Amino acid sequence: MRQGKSDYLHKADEMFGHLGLWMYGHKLIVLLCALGLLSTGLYFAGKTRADNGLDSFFDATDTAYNAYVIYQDEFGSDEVAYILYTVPNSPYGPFDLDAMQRIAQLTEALEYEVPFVRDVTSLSNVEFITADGDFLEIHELALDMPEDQAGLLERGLAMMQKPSYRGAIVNNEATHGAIILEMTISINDPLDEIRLDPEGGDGLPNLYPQAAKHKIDEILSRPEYTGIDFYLGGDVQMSTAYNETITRDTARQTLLTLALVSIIAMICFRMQLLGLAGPLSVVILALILTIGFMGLVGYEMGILFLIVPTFLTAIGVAQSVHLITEFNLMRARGLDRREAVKQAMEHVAMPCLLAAFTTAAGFLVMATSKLRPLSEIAVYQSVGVMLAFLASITVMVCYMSMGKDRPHKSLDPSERKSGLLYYFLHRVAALNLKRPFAIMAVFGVILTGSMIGIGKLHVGFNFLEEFKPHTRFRLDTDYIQNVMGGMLNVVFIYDSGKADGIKSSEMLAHLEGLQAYAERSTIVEKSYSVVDILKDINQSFHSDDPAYYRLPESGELIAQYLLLYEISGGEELSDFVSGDYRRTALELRVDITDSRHIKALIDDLERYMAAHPVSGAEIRTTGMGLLWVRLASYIAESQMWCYGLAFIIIALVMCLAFRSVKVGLLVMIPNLFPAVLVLGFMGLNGMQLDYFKLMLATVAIGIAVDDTVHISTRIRKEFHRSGNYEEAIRTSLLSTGRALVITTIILSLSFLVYTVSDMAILADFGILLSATMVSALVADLFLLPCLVLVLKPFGSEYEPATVSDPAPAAHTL
Amino acid sequence: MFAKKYMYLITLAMSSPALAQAVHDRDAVEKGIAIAAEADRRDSGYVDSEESFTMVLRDSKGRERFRTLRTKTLERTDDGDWSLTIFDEPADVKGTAMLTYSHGLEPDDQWLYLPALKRVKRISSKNRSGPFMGSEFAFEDLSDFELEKYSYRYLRDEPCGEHSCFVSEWVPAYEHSGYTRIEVWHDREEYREQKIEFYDKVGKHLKTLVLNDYSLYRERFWRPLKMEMTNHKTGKATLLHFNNIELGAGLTEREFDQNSLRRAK
Repeated sequence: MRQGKSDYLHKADEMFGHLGLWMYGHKLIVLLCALGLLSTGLYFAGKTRADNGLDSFFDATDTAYNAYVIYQDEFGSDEVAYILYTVPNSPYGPFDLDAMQRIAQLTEALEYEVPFVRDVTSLSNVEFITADGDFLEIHELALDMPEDQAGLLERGLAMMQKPSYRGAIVNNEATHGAIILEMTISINDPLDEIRLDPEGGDGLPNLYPQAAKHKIDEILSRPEYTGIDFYLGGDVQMSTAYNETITRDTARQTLLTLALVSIIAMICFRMQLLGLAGPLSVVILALILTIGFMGLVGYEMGILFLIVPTFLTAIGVAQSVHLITEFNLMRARGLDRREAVKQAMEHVAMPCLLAAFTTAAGFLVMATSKLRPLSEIAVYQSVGVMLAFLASITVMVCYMSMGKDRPHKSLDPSERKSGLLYYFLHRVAALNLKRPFAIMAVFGVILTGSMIGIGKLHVGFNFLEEFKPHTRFRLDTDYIQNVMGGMLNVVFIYDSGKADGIKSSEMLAHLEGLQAYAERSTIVEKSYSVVDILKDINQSFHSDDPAYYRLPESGELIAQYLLLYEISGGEELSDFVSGDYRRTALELRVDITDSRHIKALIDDLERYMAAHPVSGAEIRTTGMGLLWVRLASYIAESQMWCYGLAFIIIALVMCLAFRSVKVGLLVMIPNLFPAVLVLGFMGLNGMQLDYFKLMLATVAIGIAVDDTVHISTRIRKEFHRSGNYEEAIRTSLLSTGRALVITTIILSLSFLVYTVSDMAILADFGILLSATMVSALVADLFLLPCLVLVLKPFGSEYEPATVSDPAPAAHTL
Repeated sequence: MFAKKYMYLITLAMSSPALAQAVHDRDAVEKGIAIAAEADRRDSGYVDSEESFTMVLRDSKGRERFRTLRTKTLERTDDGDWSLTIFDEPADVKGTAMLTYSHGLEPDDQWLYLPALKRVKRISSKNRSGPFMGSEFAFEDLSDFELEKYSYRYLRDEPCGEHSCFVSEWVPAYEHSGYTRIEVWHDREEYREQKIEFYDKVGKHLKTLVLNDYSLYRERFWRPLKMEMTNHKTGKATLLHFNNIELGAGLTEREFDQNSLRRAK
């Protein structure tokens, strides 16, 4: 397989060379086109909006998500802000008289001042029924506050007897109280419904839930509540934490990445304007065009958008570095600016295009995922990578074309053969040529160990653990979980199919059975249903006799209790019963834990329901807990499908690029190495495959292949020039190897920027991706050359006299 | 001497607007009381009433539920009125009844009868701001009107539908109200309430009650056949459609004792 006129890779190189020459001659037109694209991108970028709500994870046609939407529509928003409090300097905890009076005041302030609040419940205003014979007294502490501490403690003792209060508004030990703010809307509601001020714009502070959260913070910080410690949890806090963290991190990471890249570029290119301004311009153009594309097609900035700025920066800079390195090399050889541009484009543009294509393919395979953030990022990130390529070959050629055409100071040969990088690459080449089998054996051992690790890898995630341990939301939620139990819900909807159907005593008995069975689970901390309300009223109507804390036997009495509850002002009923009494909901409050445990719980309860059918009712499962489980299953499905597809597509591209199945498959071995290594490492270390880490393998294959393309293309070119594998490998490592090392440093350090995020899930992703980049470099510097040396994929060696390429070989740096 | 006189004139000039305002405020309060007293006077003396009505509970999505009820009321001069409310529909709650003795500024006495339990229970609650019968009406919105329950201030005159209305502000004088103030529109012709706006504890507009289709009974007493209360915070609404109103039906105190609850069907 020798190079000839028919070799289309060679033709493509020539085409890019001519394109470079044309752009050199028309740099003003190119620049104007780039500016035109920038303006268009900016216009459409203004149309994108951030969305980290639950709907951003699911497609509108998703059945599990739709069931949840219907549940919310039927039973109202289940979103709450949850405030746990303790009174550290009082032995009476939440039943301290002074604290209770202040909590009563606070409850009112929260109810009337916090926007989007439907109802606020605390120990001070919860209705508490006492029975004395046929006299029922309905109390509210706020309206009937005992005059002394002893009176309040007596009332507290009575309240602690009510099962419905314990674990909801007071903990079992009576050391902490809780205030529950039920919200009128949910984060899934349309934008015009979640604005606080309809004319106040779409900035986060004007939108639900941020507006509610900030008001809660302001009220809690008032001096009158000093001495009470508050902990904030629930949906309002969680969604606010997501939205604010993502918005803050996106800006912070973009700036940090740009600063980092500037520093690296200045070091690598010795303060050259070309090395600094060129890549930055490429990155900014690519980023704005990508966001513009999102605005154009109507994509929203969800949580996965967090990786985009840094990622595009890394890709854009890496591509620019390849061009600058080659350009500088040509200039150092004494070529004028015009010829250097042509040669740089000829040598690097096609490998850059192949690299961009394979990286895009790595993302694009995820477009088939049922997980909306993944399927969307698959498209806009693929487009972004290709746009980064377009930006790099246009903007960089403009930069390279500018300036006076003074002869470039040619580097002294002795200088070229010195330096740490030269020494390192020289040693790498020497080692490869000396011990190829030993190196392959080491890689074989590592791959075997990694495969064992992959066998132990499991899918799962935990929204709480997505935040770093020091973040306020996670600290508070962990504390609340420890004190009060679970903050996640799993819901079972009983649909009787007819109005008033759920008043049937048989159906309610079934619900009671399921509730009791569910409460045996160690991760179910509390359960709520209409059964609790009915038992509570039944006990009150029988002189508070605990023996009557049970379901009434008659259907008529059930109906009349429900009416009594409603007409006496009970507002919780609508949380569990549909207006026409056709459906009722059993809500389980579950620990925020690994999605696998929640799946096990749901499976167990569904088995119970299958074994205990209820006539005349259909039972559906929904709630946030089920959505977690569904997310996990989508990740698992995406994993198998995406990984296989990524491998096939990229292998196909390699085979076509090299017009050889043998070469294509051979270069896939070092491509797979980093993906296998990182997944194996995760498996061996018990790390879970979440929706961020799911991208690792496909992204790793996609990016790792960039370096493989550059180095294998170069080896192939040098082999065609020299006819000798050892010479080709040595020359390629000493030339292209330099760009590989620099781009890997840039990519790895760029991805480490993710570690500054408050999102632990992103920080872990950054560390693993950086490690993947380094392992990809190791595979390209060691494994690939050894495989080429041993398998000789470009044909037999031959005498260098047949070399026809006019370009001088890049023997030196 | 000149200085003293000069200072006096300046003080007088400066205090005149304040004085004028004080006089205006006193007039507004007196006029507010007068309007409320006249409305009360026109509505007093009906002795008793029997009404049947449908309650429509509409949620924020527009879904509706219906209840049919009857109410008997006995007017009392020494204390608040007595009333007996009986549920006719839905069928499974038919016969559920509630007896209420209103007490002006003091909490009401209430008794409840559940036919399935066949027992009368006395209920005591200080919560006046809670919803009435699960509707958007609070107990305090429908409780017996007593002049001393509010302080009053006339605000303005303005058109209200086909009528011209006095607009007055009422501030609850009783404890545990859910409102800081109420704005009431009385038409100038008959002093009938046409509209009432309720403002919550931080002064936000919470609910609006619109009263329509007034009919005249016994040639003196006006009663609305339609009432619609809208809660602006929750988006829910309650409509009351009265289909039978009888004043002076000859009800006696015996029909408002605890045994009457058992008899009510």
